[in-house]
Amino acid sequence: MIQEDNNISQADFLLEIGTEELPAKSLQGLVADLAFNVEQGLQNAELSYGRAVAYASPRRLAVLIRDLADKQKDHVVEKRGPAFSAAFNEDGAPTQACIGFAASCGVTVSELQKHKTSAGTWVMCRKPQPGVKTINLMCGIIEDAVKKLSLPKAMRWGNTNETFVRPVHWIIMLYANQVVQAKILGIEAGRITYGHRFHHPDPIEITHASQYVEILSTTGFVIVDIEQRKEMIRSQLSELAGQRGTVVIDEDLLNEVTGMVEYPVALLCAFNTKFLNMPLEILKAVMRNHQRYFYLVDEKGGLLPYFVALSNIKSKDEKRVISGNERVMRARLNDAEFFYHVDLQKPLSDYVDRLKDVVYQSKLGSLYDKTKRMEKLAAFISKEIGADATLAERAAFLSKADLMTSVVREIPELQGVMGYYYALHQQEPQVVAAAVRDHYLPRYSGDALPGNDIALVVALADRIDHLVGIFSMGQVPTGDKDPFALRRAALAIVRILIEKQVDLDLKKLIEFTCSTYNFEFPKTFVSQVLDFIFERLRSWYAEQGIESNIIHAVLARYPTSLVDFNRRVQAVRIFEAEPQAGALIAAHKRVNNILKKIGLLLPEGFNLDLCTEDAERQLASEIKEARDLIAPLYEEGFYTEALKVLAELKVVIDNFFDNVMVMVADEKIRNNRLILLHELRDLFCYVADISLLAKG
Amino acid sequence: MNKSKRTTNNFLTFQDLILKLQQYWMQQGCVLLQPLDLEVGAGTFHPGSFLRAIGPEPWSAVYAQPCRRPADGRYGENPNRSQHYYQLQVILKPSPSNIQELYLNSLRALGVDTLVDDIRFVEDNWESPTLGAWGVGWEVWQNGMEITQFTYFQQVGGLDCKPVAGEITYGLERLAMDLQGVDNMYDIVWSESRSGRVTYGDVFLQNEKEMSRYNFTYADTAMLGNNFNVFESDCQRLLAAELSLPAYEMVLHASHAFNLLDARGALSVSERQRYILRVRALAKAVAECYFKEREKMGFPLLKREKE
Repeated sequence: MIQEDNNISQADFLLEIGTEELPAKSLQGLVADLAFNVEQGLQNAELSYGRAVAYASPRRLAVLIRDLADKQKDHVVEKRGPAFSAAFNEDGAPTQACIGFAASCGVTVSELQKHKTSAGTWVMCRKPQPGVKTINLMCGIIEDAVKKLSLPKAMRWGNTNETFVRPVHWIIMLYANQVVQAKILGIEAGRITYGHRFHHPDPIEITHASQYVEILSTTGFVIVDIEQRKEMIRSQLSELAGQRGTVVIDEDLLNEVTGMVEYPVALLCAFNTKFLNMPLEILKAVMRNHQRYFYLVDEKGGLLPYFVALSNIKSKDEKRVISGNERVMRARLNDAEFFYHVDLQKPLSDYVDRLKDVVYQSKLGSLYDKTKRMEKLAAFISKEIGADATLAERAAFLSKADLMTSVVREIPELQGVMGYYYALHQQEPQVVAAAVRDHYLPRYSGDALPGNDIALVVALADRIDHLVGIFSMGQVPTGDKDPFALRRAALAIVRILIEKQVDLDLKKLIEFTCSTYNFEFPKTFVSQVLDFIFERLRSWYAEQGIESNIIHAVLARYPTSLVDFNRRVQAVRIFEAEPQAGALIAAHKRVNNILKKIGLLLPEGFNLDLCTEDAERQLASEIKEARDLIAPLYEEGFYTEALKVLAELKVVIDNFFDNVMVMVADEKIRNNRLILLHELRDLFCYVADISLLAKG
Repeated sequence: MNKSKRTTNNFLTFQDLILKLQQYWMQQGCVLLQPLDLEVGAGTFHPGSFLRAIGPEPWSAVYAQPCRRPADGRYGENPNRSQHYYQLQVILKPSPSNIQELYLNSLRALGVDTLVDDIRFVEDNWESPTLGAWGVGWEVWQNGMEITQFTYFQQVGGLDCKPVAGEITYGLERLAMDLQGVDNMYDIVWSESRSGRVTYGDVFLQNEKEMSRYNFTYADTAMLGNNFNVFESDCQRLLAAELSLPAYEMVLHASHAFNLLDARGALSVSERQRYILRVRALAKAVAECYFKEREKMGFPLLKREKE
């Protein structure tokens, strides 16, 4: 296909989908997907353009394509016909094949050309194909772009069969100043938009695509540029806080409120200072999660009795909007305070008994049963790692009690946090209270880990109990289905053990966990759970860029303490980078291959007297020496050093294979050499199975 | 009550509020229904919403519905939560394209100035596990206070809604609190009666205190558990006789028995889930039965529309 240049001009194209209020949280992702799909469509249609800009507000999604070509380039379509020799007979008259080809191209035989390449000569049809006008292509492109959007909760409305995120009211499709003839989502495209729901409900005509943003902001009271709106809010927030303090700007919240307003007006509101006597997390949760308010802090980070509400209107009576928001906040805080005081009337430990009424899982008993198992586990883990078992048991006992308190039932995201305050209130040691709070860590990938030993013990107890319990119900995750979040639990175990350097034998831990249940487990159960954790370990390492062959090599030794596992991994990484590594890996594979062929059991013990070659004796003595060096290093976990010793064997191993034939006729000599190789292999396999490091 | 901080003397009483909304929606062509005479947890349970949302027949109605949520009882001590309250329910099927504007005009009819108050449609999708129903929509905020639930029904009783019904549910107490500028629902003026001012508290505070004690302490759980079973089997018996409406009443009875058991803390999490599934199974069976009965009758309201 040959392309030719011709007169193409550029102009802006605008798509606007006018809707009822869209979900704030998904607004940005939705419009980004839409813009992406439109760009893909343009590229597939070979329409050139400058750039695509996505705009969105609660009532509209828009994509502006800058400098979009007004048509596809003209080009020549080439079609190859039969071979020249088959197209014309000796007289030069066209054959049936040639006439047929010309007809299929819609041309006469005389219009066909001769096409010569190094491979031969053919007849060829070259037809100029004028580029299609953009305005005629956009309908299809936009239709596809909308259709391709993935809408997790698409809805229908009224009598239509259309589906979208929310009902659609108008569509604008403008190329420069021309309306594109199209019907999208059941609506004829035009040039009419609507401004702010209250400030400018009347129709607004967009005369030219490039004026869109400007007209909406000056006439329509709509700031349609997401970033601009966000920065407006940001500067209003800091301006309002002024001398009083600093507004804490949570970016997720900022994004969400940006998606909730078309014309942001921030308002400073206040609440009664008496509420500051409550745990501040309660106030923050109410403000941030329930009301989408921003809170203020003083220079020391202390919470101030103010908050900022974002309104979507330049109200004729701001005070009324402020007092309305303050009333809601007052009611919420009154509620929370009431619950908080109800909760404080009884010690936290009293709530533990109520966990009997809450089923954890039918087969696994109540949350109380789980608490009891966690106590045993906490004691076990503490003893294994040298933490204070009494404190850990106490923390485990109290860990779930706050789930029964009123505040947590009202504001579930405060689980753990309220337990911390209630534990302190009943004079528990600080470290126990902190463990009640922090045993939920890490809550998501990348979250912080528990800080103190006791919290860490309880966190492990919680996760391993969950993993073993749910596994025993046969609820193993499949594909992307993991309803009990077992992968997250396993990853938490991996991260805590490795990042916090907790030297705990997982096999023993799982076995002990099984013993806390009053039912039998299948024989293979422990290794199933172990394998599941190792699977998470593998993907955790993969995320850090550690290649899977290293993990395979270490896994071959099945070290069930992850601290030990990790030490081996790090040692193997260093070893792998050594210049001798490649040759040693190859040698190990070679040894394996030789030994694999020998089905029979070898007699015990290497006999130096049976050696006939120097290279053989040398290898034997070096192996013995290396083993004497490696064994204590291995015992101590100095894996890097152990592998260094191994690396130094390269010369003698090469020498051996260069000069010694293993499979000789003499059975005694042959077996003796095989025994030597066996010993060599054992040496290779101390830290990890080195042969598995081979790539490809 | 003199301790209320009313911002203006010209406010709507609670009864005015109900009447104004009913009148407004009547003018928009809604059938004015009366409340259902059974205990329900929400206006949606009224057959005028739940059952009428099923099938192809058009339907527009408005009604006030007293609702009971036993677990929300607070002995009258919480300023805006109670185990008995009112919803004003509007159902428009098929949902008209100007439904939001109709709703906003209803607020304007109450004296709300939408250039003063910050009115917002905030994403909130609705799901009723016991009714096997879900929809998509918003909670409507007025200056940060949730005053209305706005839902486009997508499924009811496990059946796809075709056409889609739009449901507007006003929280009357909250709306009144804002309109009257009071902080406590019991301070809402219900009526300026011939014997003087009557507040929401005068009408309902004693009920709230006594019913809270009943819900949380005195409700007989053995009786309720037994009632649930009886209502359930009776519902099934009535369904076998193709009596969809009586069967539906049994669903409502069972649902209320479940709510009381729940409030009494008599159910563990998994038991609770089982009860919900049992009610849902009944609701779905009723929905299907009702659809068939309407179908047998030839969907009478559909014909009227075409005439």
